[in-house]
Amino acid sequence: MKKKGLISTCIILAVAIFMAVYTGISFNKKRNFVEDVVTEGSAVTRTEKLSTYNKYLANTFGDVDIYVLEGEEPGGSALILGGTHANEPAGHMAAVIILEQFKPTKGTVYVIPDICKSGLSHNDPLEGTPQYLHFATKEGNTRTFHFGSRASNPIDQWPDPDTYLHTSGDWEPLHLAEGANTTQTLSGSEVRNQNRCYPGIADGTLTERVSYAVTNMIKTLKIDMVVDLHESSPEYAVNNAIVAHERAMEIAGMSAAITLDAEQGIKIKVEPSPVNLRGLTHRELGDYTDTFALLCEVGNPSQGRFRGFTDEELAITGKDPCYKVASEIHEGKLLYVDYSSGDFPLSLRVARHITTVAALIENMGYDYPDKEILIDNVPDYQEMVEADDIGLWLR
Amino acid sequence: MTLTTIIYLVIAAIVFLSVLYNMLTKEERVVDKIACAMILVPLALRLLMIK
Repeated sequence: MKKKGLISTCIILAVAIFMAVYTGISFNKKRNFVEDVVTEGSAVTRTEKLSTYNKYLANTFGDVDIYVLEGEEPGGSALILGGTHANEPAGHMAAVIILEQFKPTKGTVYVIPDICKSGLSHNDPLEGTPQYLHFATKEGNTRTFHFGSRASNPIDQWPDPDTYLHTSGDWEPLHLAEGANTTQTLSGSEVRNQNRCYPGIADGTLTERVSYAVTNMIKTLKIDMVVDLHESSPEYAVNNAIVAHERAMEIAGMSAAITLDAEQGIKIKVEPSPVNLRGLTHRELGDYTDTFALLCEVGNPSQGRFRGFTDEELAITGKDPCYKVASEIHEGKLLYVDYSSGDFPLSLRVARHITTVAALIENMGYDYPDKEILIDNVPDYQEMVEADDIGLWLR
Repeated sequence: MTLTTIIYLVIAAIVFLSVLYNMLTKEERVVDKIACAMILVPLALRLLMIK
């Protein structure tokens, strides 16, 4: 090699090494960043490990904490799942606020705010999304949370298959709808989608193991209701909605029509869980356990395809000029959320989720008095929306 | 770590080494060397299982 060629090769290689080291440190820091969940002063009475319900999860990245909020009086039980899709921050943050604020006086609330911890540990390539979200608390402290990927981290299960064949493993269905399939083929990357892997396989991929543990937890503890908190692109039809398994449809309908719309002015749709859309919480947990399976969606401008520059500000304020334009053309029919104000802030999205969870729990108690859960200290919807700062509800 | 993952890591290692070999010995144009370097960065991160 000529001397000139050798110098250019060395320079280029040095730049490549710098890039690899720089990005490697950044990725590694995110992978190992631990969110601080504050249980002091909350109603959390104890924590459990998710591996309690699947021994194959022990010592893996999916062995997360289950926060248990027990009322003094026995009653029903509910499981709140946040962080299923880590690029949908309202689901994750609503679960964190629920575990830090809800104070059950009757019954038990289980909260897993980071059910797909692997997804929180990395970002989607080429999406330009932030790695973290920061919030100032009332006391002036800064709390930092992950903004992650829709799917589990490939370093936890790599490579993806060309086609993902979803199966229900060894589980036997309890409430399978007539004519429903129990398997489905999906695109290969869906093998890392937490919400396509239920009811789960005990010794399957990490994502399947986590799903198995959740299903087993619900069966073992006889949990009465599960609510999975999500967000969706404003241009996606299932938006500002409760998706309900057929056995939970009455609870969802009463919650949406009376508790949310008539009493609080919150417009929310109720969507039936499709019987042949397999792998999702609202379908599989309703089919394979006796729980009332529900999923909540709210519009997230930092997730959609129409969005412009993507950063932490967009994730928190929901303010995006491209969505504003989209809301003004074609008579606003491009979007499934009202974006006329030009924003759809995280405070509103989290408030919707928290209020919906409270309404669903309340209505389960009306319909099934033996499953009643009474909760104090539920953050007020109007107060959260007006304050426009979820940091005020973080400890 | 599954056997498939190990096989894929071996493939990634072979591609990494061959691209590095080409960069050091075969490529003469600067743009081709830069292209090689850009291929090496994600391969190195995957070999170290950093994402």
